[in-house]
Order: sequence, then structure tokens, then C-alpha cells
Amino acid sequence: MRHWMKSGLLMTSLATAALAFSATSGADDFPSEPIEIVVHTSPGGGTDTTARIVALATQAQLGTNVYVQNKKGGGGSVAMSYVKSKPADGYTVMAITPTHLFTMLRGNSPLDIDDIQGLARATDDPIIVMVRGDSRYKSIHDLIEAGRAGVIKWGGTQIGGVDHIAAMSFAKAAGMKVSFVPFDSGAEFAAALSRGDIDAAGLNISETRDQIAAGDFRPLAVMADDRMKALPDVPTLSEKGLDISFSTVRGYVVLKSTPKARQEILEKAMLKGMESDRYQNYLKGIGLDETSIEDAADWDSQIRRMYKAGQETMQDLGLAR
Amino acid sequence: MLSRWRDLLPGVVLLVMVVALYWITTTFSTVPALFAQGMQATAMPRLILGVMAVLTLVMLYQGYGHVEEDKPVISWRMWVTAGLLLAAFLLFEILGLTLTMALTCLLIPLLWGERRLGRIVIYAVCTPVMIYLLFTHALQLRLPQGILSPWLS
Amino acid sequence: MEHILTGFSILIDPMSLAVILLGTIVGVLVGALPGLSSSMAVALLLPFTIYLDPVPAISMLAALYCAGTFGGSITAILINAPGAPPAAATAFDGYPMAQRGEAGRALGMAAVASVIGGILSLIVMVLAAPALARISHSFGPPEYFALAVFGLSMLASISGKSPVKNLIGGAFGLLIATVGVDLTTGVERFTFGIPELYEGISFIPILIGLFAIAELLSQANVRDKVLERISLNAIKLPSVTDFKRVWPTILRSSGIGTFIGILPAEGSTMAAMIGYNEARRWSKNGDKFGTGEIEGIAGPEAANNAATGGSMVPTLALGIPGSATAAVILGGLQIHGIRPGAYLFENQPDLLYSIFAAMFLANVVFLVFGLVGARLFSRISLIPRTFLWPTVFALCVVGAYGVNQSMVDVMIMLIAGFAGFWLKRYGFGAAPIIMGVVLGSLVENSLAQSMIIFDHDAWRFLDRPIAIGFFLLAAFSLFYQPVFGWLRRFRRPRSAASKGAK
Repeated sequence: MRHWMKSGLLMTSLATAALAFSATSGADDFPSEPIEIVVHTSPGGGTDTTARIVALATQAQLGTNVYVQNKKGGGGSVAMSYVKSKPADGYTVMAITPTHLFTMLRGNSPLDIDDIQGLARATDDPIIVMVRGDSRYKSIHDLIEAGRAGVIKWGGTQIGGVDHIAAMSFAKAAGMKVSFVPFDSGAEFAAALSRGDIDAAGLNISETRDQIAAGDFRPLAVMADDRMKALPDVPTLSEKGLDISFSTVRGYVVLKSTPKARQEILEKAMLKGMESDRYQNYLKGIGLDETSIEDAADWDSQIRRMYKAGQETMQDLGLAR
Repeated sequence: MLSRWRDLLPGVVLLVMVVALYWITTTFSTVPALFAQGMQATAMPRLILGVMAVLTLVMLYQGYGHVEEDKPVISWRMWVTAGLLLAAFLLFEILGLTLTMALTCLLIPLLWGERRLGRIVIYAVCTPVMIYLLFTHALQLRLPQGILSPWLS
Repeated sequence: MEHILTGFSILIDPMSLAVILLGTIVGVLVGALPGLSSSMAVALLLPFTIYLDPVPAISMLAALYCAGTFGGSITAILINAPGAPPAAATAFDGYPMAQRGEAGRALGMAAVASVIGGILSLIVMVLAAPALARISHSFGPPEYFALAVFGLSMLASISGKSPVKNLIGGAFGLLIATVGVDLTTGVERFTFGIPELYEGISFIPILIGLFAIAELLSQANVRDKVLERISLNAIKLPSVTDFKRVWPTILRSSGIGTFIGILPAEGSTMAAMIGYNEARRWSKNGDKFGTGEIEGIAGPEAANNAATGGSMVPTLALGIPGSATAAVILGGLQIHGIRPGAYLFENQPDLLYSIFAAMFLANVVFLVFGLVGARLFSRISLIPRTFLWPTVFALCVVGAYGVNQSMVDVMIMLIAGFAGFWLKRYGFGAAPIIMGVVLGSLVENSLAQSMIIFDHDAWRFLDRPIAIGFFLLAAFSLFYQPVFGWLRRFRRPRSAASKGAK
């Protein structure tokens, strides 16, 4: 099937490859071999699907095969040791999520934050503090007050994951007590919230866009620096004096020692690929918009900020090394 | 006397395993107090191990005084086959999947008493090639090819 | 009604028909390969559906899903290597039948039972999808815990072997499921420092090992003598008498499968195990299950295919995948810019019915494919074992490796194979182990979640009517035999001595 596709794309890709080549004249003939994107899960999850779409979009720009390699295990550490074992020549790209950062923080990872360099961000899905539409918590203040007086049952994914770290950071900064209920997936605790099994949850807009529109869920605050385009009336936590910013992000990195010229070729190809209708359509399907896409400089600094924020919380929780 | 005790061997093996695994549960890291909420990580494994130990004792009690049921004799071929599978596992990394499979497809029929040499050779060549074509080219699954990797993608 | 017609109109669109046909055939073949489950096939095909319109694309994936679930039964029957986890229960009686030289009868039954199960569940879906979505929405952690307890209550009786050994096997399965990071505490358990075990032991290598590798080792023990092959019988399809005997089983399993399917996160594997257990419980020949009873094929096959239809409901209506494959299909929807969730039914009912139409067609296609193929595939059981089993080994290695590209998984497969051989030798069946693995994390996680939700007050389970229902079912499942036996003995005290023992 790929051979068939390859020939179909050959014309356009040759043209773009030639362009890329001339634009970075002086660089070698990168890429001349297939490029792999290493994903830390089995085929099928969100990170894997995103990577597969990005691979297709990037391949159309580079004129070389881009494929996904699944290396599951150890909260990303298997993928990271695999990447580490490969030469830093730009032919191995790694998909990265907050999970990877927390694995690094726990000291379970062969790679460190200083070994990687961001290329581009594919999705950005800030965590939103959410309660049921008919909840008595009308504002983030109501929730914080209730959390100071009693205990808030808060839904999220597994302990030590981004939802947990985000919830605990928020609870600590606001001085609330939170009883964290872990679920397997976001959709599951969204359902638990709408049944009333839990009081609040850190949910993403991608999972709840329709429920918010219908008034089933009420967003109280966004864990981001700026208000979201999709939710202009919802305040951020930093507006409320709590400097907490966590997001379900997915992006791509290479080893830091990869030649700069190659990094630029990859970054350009990815960004250009993600502008395509196909990728934009996918973003729409997962409830996001074009603000998800970010270039190397901003993405790289976001990874590092998130790493630092995670470090503080995890040390408090006794999870970091 | 031990011959009149059915399931003695599996019972003892299971009990040893339960004790060993229970010991491993004591090495689990402890949960930071902040989110130890109710069930500890050791609770479920220990409960299961406890139930297993009790059940194994019941099984041993039921088997006492009964003769072991007749079991098929384990032939030397079984042991050699098992060894072959293990050896194949160790060789995968070096020789790669396709070459190792060619070897197992050659050796297992010989070991199991197949004597038509011509057929075995054809079989041992065709099977790995077919599997390689099917998985790597039709299904796009990359397999480790070890020393053959320069030639097979 | 209008939406149903619009939805089913894809069946007259040539492009859609072609991709559904393609999806079905690829699905059967990939499903049949051990290790390559339908979820894998869907995941690998996913990016390529970008080039199709949304409706044909999703229809193709749905067809592939249905067909893949059926495909697993082919290898389960022929070589004791379930092509996919839902087919595990089919191997219990299918493989003994094939060994007896009745491969065609077993394969034919698997095809027919699958299709009836699949189509019945689709009819229920078309008629009542929104109502069923509400049921699946009401399933929270306490309900899951009760369901898991009901599942555990089957462990003792799931195979004809000694109840104590079944329970030990079940406990073993539960223990396997505890490997990896604990969801509720984040603590690593039994990982021995191997990062590949961090997310838990993968199910597929265990399955392949317990069934196929263990059988390969048994085959190594078979003496040299050339086995008698009743070649004429091997390609014979099931008879009308067979169908007369199994229709209650098929109906019951279709119901079970549909129900388990609509529960979020519980897929075909659990449906098949429950279907098998209930077939055994209500059969006159319950004792003979595991030695090649045809009801032991109809039970799980009708249930697992009914569950595929069912699992589309929470996937589409709640965005909570009803199974691993449904999770990937969810990704397929998103690629096309379709957001599944509570409002999909209201906004795009046509799409929903198109998916059901595609699954309906897939069922019809693989019925034909399955019945024609049964005569062809059944000849595999006639291949000399000296050539058959090395091939099985090669396929198993690729299957175990392929899922996560991991040699650790191949090692797990071998260990499970050696353990499976030894356990079988001492009368421990694979059925309770599989059931234990399937239920393992569900039991623990749902209990832990429930206890936090209930503020550590177990009595609050009694506030949840569905949970109470399952607890009662579990009690019935555990005690009906002793109670019925006691009643019978009470009525006929004389003849009790011989019968009461069971």
C-alpha cells in the first residue's frame, strides 16, 4: 500500500524536497533515508494516531518515507532508550508528552531534559477545571472555598500522570484538600463527573466541547497562561493569582546533538505538513484548533517550563528523585 | 508413600511461588502519605496470594491418599524442542527473525522425525520468506533482521 | 426511520461497497493471524483512510473490526492459536474438534454463530441505540466492580476440571493482571526492573503462549506414528441437527454479547468468556465441554461478535471506547473531523446507521467467506504436524513481537508456553487463567475507585441498583448448583447419592 502511495506523492514531494534543499544550501542531502517517529504506546491511542497523521503530512513535504515506530513501556523510557541508541542524525524523531517529562523527573529515564531539542508541537490541550452544569460551585472561588472546608473528589488519569500532577499542584497552591480518583481515560472520568460520582475534574476541551456548549459541564478555570480562544469567558488560574499551567501536549523532539540544519529541515516540514487540510481536519476531530501548532522555539521552551513546574510538585509529593 | 499423594508436585511448586512472590511484595515502594487513600498497592497482590495459598492447601488435602493420574510420558524430543525454542529466542537478536525462523523450520521437522529431506529444505526456505513478505511488505510491520538487516528492511 | 434509510443507502454506493468488502477480507485474514488482532489492523490502516470520505472510511474500519473478531476463531480452531483474544474461548472446544477430524464442522459453526450474534446485536442497536447509550452511561466504578464480582463467580465452573484447580488458575490470572504500575497508587508491582512491564504484561503474548506454544510442546511429545486423518470428515460442514441443538445457546450468547458490548471498556473477550460459561452451565453436556462440544463454539462466537456491534454504542455516543479496537476506530472518526460524544446521535444520526449498515454487510460477507473458506481452511488440519507446528511457532513469534515491537513480549510468550504446558499436564485449564487476566485490573481498579467515591463506606454499594443486580447474579451463579442439588435430594432422597455429588 505504501509503495502505491509513494508513487502518488512522488511528484509533489520531489518538488518540495528540491525546494527544501535549495533553501538550506550548504546542508547535505538530508533526508535521503526513511525517517521514523518513535511513539511510546501501542498502535491506536491519541499520541499514536496524531503521530501517524503528522508522519503522513510530513512525508508529503520531505519526499521521503516517514513512519511510526511503536516502543511501548516504562512510561516512555523504552522509547527514550531506543532513541538514545540511535545516531543523532535527524532520522529518528521522538513523539513526546508530559508523561516523558515526568518519567525523566522520576529518574527512570535514560534521557534527560537537556538531551532533547523540540522540533514542533502538534496538539495543545490545556487542562480545564470542570464541574457539572448544575453544580453548586459557580466559580473557581466556590470550589476553592469548598476544598478548604472539606474534601473535593477530583477525577483524573493515573497517579503520577499529568492530570494528577496538575490537580495536586492546584490543590497545594490553593490550599485545598483533594481526594484524587484515577481512571483509565479522560472520557471515563468525564462520564463519572456527569453522573455525579466525582465533584470536579481536570478535563480537556477536546473531550468536553459539546458538553460545555450544552451546559452539562461548567468550566471554572483554565490551567494556562492565556485564556483559550474557544473559551474566552473562562478565566485562567494565573489571573486568580495561582501560577499553574498544565496541558496535555504532544509534540516532537530530536536528540540535542542533531545538526542544526537538519533540525530546521524537519521543523519546517512538520509545520508545513500540519498546515494541510488533513491535519487541520484531524485537529477539529479531536476538538482542537490551529493554536495547537507551535514552532521549535516556543515548543522547546514550553517543554522546559512544564518540566520545572512538574519538578516542584513531584518533589513535594515525594515522587521525584 | 509420596506416590499416593496426587498433585504433590504442583502444590509444592505453587506454595514456593506464593512465598517468593509474597516476599517480592515487601519490596514494593511505599506510597507517599499524601495520596495513600484506602487501598495500598500491596493489598490486592497479597490478598490473591493468600487465597492461592489456601486453595493450594485444599488441593493438597483433596489429593492426599489418591494415586497420581497417569500422564503422558515426556519424551526427550519435548526437552530438545523446548531447548530449541529458547535457543531461537536468544538467536533472534543476532540472526534476526527471518534467519532464525529458517533454522527452526529446518530443525524442528528433523527433530520430530520427518525424513523427507528435500521437502524440509524447500519448506525451511519458503516459510520464512513468505512470512517476511506478508508481514513486512503487506502489513508494514518491521521485524528485526539482525545480520540480514542491510538487505531486508 | 428516515435516518436509518439514509444510513443504509451506503450499501448501494459502489465505492463504499468496495471498501467494506476489502475491509472484511483483510479483517478475516489479519484476525486469523495469531497476535495480529483487529485493533492492530485497524490502527495500521487508520492513516490511509484519510484518502477516503468519512462514511466509507469508518465503514471500512467497522467492517474490519467485525471480520477480525470472526477471523480469530479460524486459527483458534485449527491450530489452538487464537488469532485474537476474543477467540480464546473458541479454542477450548474448537481445537479438540479439529483434532478429532471435524475442523469443517467447527469452522462452519463458528461462522454461522458469529453472523447470527453479529446481526442480532445490530438489530438491537438500530432499534435502541440511544436507550442503550443511557445504560452504558450509567455504568460507573461501583457497577463495574459488581460486574467483575459476577465474572469471578464463574471461575470455579468455567471448565470441567477440578473446581479448586480452576480457582487457583483464576487467582493466577488475577495475579498476572497486577503486574505493572498500580492505577490508584502509582506503585510499580512485579516489574523486576523491566521497563516493558511498567504498563503491565501484554495479554496477547500470554494468550499465544498458553495456547499455541503449550500445544506445540505437547505435539513434540506425540510418538512418531502417523496420525490417522479422517480427511473426508474434516471438510464437512455442520448439519441441521447441529443447528437445532445450538440455537438456544446462540440466542443466549447474542444477548450476553450485546449487553457486555455496550458497557464501556468491556469488549468481546469478556463477552466470549461469559458466553462460553453460560453455554456450559445450561448445556446437557456441560461435563463434556473442553473435549470438543459444538455448543462450546457457538457460545463464545455468537457472544464475541454480538459484542462488536454493542461496543460501537459507548464509542460513538460517549466517546468511551467499548473495546480496544473501538478505541482505534474512535481515532478514525477524529481523523475525519468527527467528534464522537453525547451529541453525535443527535447531530449525525446518518453516520451512525451507515456504520451499522457496514457492519451488517460485513457479517453477510464473512458468512459466505467463512462457509466457503471452512472447506478450504479445514485442510490446514491435514498438514503433517512436522510442518504445521514450526510454521505456527514462526507466526507466533512474529505475532508476539509485532504488537509492541518488543523481544520482552516474545520472552513472555515462551514463559507462558512452558508454564501452560506444565499447568495443563497437572490439570489446570487455560480458561480460568484467561478469565482472571481479563477481570484482574477491573476488579482492583473499580473497587479502589468505588471506595474513594463512597468515602470508604462499602455499604453505599447498596445505593446502586445495577450493582445490586450483579451481586445477586453472582450469588445465583455460585449457589444455584448446590441449592438445586439439595432440592433434588430433598425430593428424591433415594437416588440422590449418585447425582448429588456433582
